[in-house]
Amino acid sequence: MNQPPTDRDTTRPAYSRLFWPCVLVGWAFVANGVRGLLENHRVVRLSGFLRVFIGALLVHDLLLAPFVIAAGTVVSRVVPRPARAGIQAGLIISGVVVLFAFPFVRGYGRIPDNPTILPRNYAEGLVVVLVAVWLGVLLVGAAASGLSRRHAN
Amino acid sequence: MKVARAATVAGTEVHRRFTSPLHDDRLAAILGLALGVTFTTCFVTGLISHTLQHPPSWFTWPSRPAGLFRITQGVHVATGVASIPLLLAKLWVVYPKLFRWPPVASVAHAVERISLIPLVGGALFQLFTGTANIAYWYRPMPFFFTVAHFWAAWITIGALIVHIGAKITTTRAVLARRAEPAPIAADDPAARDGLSRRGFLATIGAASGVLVVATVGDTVRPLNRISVLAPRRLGIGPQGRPVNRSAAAAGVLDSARDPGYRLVVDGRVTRPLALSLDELRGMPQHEAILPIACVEGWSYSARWCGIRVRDLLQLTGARPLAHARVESLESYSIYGSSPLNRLQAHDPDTLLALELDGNPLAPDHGYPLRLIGPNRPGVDQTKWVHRLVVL
Repeated sequence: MNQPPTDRDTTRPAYSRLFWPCVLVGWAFVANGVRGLLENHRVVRLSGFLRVFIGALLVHDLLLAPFVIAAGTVVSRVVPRPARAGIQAGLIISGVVVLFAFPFVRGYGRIPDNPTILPRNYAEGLVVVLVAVWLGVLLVGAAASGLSRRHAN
Repeated sequence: MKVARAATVAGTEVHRRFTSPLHDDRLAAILGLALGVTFTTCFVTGLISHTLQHPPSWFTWPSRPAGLFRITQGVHVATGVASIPLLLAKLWVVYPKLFRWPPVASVAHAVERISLIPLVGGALFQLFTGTANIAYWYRPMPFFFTVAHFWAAWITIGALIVHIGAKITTTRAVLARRAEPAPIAADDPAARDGLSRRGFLATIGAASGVLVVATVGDTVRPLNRISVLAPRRLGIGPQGRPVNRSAAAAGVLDSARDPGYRLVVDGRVTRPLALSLDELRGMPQHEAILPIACVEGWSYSARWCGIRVRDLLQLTGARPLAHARVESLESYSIYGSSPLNRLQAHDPDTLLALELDGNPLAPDHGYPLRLIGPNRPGVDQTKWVHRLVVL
């Protein structure tokens, strides 16, 4: 926001004048969501809901993010420079794909009377995707190093 | 002021321990914008789906275009899937901010940070439960998915509105500046020569693209074979079509095959009817090519043949603007009946279908009679119909 440089603005530089209206509207939405959950507490089962809601936060902040940061540190120290960006890209995409594919590969949702649910071989599918991802990384890496070599010449 | 300065100094100190130059405001702003678009898209399309399934009295959803719901719900699921890498990347980029000290610098800042709990918790909850649901993985969801997912969406979007209000100034300022190379953490050579900012964004974009292509084939036919992680495969199932609920699971195998089966048409009519299967087959048949679009994102188009609901309304002497409800033999399920608003009830392609692709319906597709209408969620295309109530 291009606000005129008044004294007031220098004391609160980061927040636009839209902030408090957004807080009001936003928390009205949040309150509506909470109201809906409370009204439907029989089917939502609040303890189960909160377990997953808070659990997702904790699993991300205390397990997943530190793990990714640790893995990133290892990669940046172990992998030689020319390959580093490519390896990072490949690992990021592979990690996300593995995370997403996990319940499919394990086949948790399969039920005997309905073979149309999860009908594919997801372990094989995951391997196919990962091979494609790393081939893509190799191709992009080769193209990039070719370009930079030509640039250097 | 002193507090703010001390917090900045302390924040900078902690920030230095996260050596990657990619923990920066520009990336946070760009990923934030992308998530703003994808989450808003999911919210609007989700709201449409919810309103269709629980229509308020003032709301009359049109029956045309026939494939509209197929598109809005396909977009809902694909956009949610595409958001997974975006959200994880965004959280990684801003992760060092979690440790800033002191934690709050002003009242506004405290409000902003408290609102991060519903924002991050809600965003993770929505993407996790959405994914678990399309994978039919119900164990980690000790609650009824659709209700929880719907109300958690309000919480998430509300917190997103607060966050937009808090970040609008920074985002504008950061994006208005010319992109400078991300500052290298000078004391850590190991952080150099990894992904650039642009490379990181390209990687996250690629990850979203890979996930979407790997799953969207169960609604985008040409990608059916390529989408190796899609929860369905078109071509697999009774009559080559996937189903969500089998006749056995619904407990209707016997009642559906009962020779005494009748379709009852009653309610606000002058001439109620009870029609046997042969009588239904003897009525004027109408053919329509219509999609079935599941809320889980998969869909297929097929050729259906049966009796127009409109014809039944006329035959029984219903009012010209009557609406209706169909009821299933699967009476105890929450999806055992579905409403037809006046536009849907009078659409020439809204059928009580006897045939799919020229053959009698398989039991899993709703034998002897199922509802199929344009622009409706799959859960409302009620199977094993035994009653049409005119309202």
